[in-house]
Amino acid sequence: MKRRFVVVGAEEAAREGLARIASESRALAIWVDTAEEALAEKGADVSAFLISARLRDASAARLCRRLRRIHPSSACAIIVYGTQIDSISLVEALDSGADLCWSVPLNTPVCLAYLRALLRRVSLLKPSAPPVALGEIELDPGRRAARLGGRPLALRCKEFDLLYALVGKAGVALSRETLMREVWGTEYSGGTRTIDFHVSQLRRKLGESARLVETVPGLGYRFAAEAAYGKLT
Amino acid sequence: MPKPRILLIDDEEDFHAIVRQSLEPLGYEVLSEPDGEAGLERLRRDAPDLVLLDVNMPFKDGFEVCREIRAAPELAALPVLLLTIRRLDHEIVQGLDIGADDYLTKPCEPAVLAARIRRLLERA
Repeated sequence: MKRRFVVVGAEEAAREGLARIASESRALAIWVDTAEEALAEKGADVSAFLISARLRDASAARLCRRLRRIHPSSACAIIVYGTQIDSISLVEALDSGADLCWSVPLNTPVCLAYLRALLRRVSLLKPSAPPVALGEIELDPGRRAARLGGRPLALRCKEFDLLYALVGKAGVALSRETLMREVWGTEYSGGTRTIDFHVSQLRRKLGESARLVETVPGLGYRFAAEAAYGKLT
Repeated sequence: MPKPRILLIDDEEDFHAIVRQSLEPLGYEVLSEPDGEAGLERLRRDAPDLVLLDVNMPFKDGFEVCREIRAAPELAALPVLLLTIRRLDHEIVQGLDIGADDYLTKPCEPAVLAARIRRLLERA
């Protein structure tokens, strides 16, 4: 599915640049005029909101705060754009959940580089990924929320994706290459040592449940399905 | 909660003091190193939460340090903010494309730097 960018309150001066940024990011641009319409875009396939600093019906910072309750930073980028955004408004926007502020006229190549950097951090999970629960572990990719034994578990972006991939195929041994592809995307060339490092971080956070992430010698890792169920009974 | 730890890698010692003065009152612990080699060593030893990286430095420039950070599995996820006087379009694009998470040009307002850091730490 194509990712979507929601453009909110586009002024004439920024329209062309925003359209180019969306098309070069291979995203479908959705153009809306007001904060209310932006808030109605709740889909997990929205990977960025591009918000005018001068909206008709709300301040950009207020809209950022409300959007962040629906779209977490790990799943969606928020950018505020406008002519002559002063540093007070800039700081307010960032503290309200915006990732970047762009000045109009937009410098498209530079904007695209910032956006690429931002989207690298945003999850590569498919928009339709469903929540999963196994034994004491519950993962909700839409909200990027992980729980262990009912308590919230603070995972970094890649740790979450890694655990989600393992739990989603519980009982099956996954090779390092498969995990690299699913969690980091095909273009990542950091080598499979990256996986081993993230698995060790993940195990540390899982505490007693760390043993559920099993090493399969010479291949990769497996989430121990039986053991996870066993804890319940 | 422990103080977030920030490592500044910059060859301008005067700038270390400026960054310290702007960030320490906000509850950050600021470490600093004067060059890329020492910076990479410190990163591995002290595992900071974020790195502020200058570009123009002797021996090893900030772009090279950034590449090495991204190539090292234990550092690959570390938030990197390039903070430099280099302000040409192609330099910004290059810096972000080799793996920096954010790019700010010097001089920058302390309040803006602090807000960008908060944002990066929240997202990491």
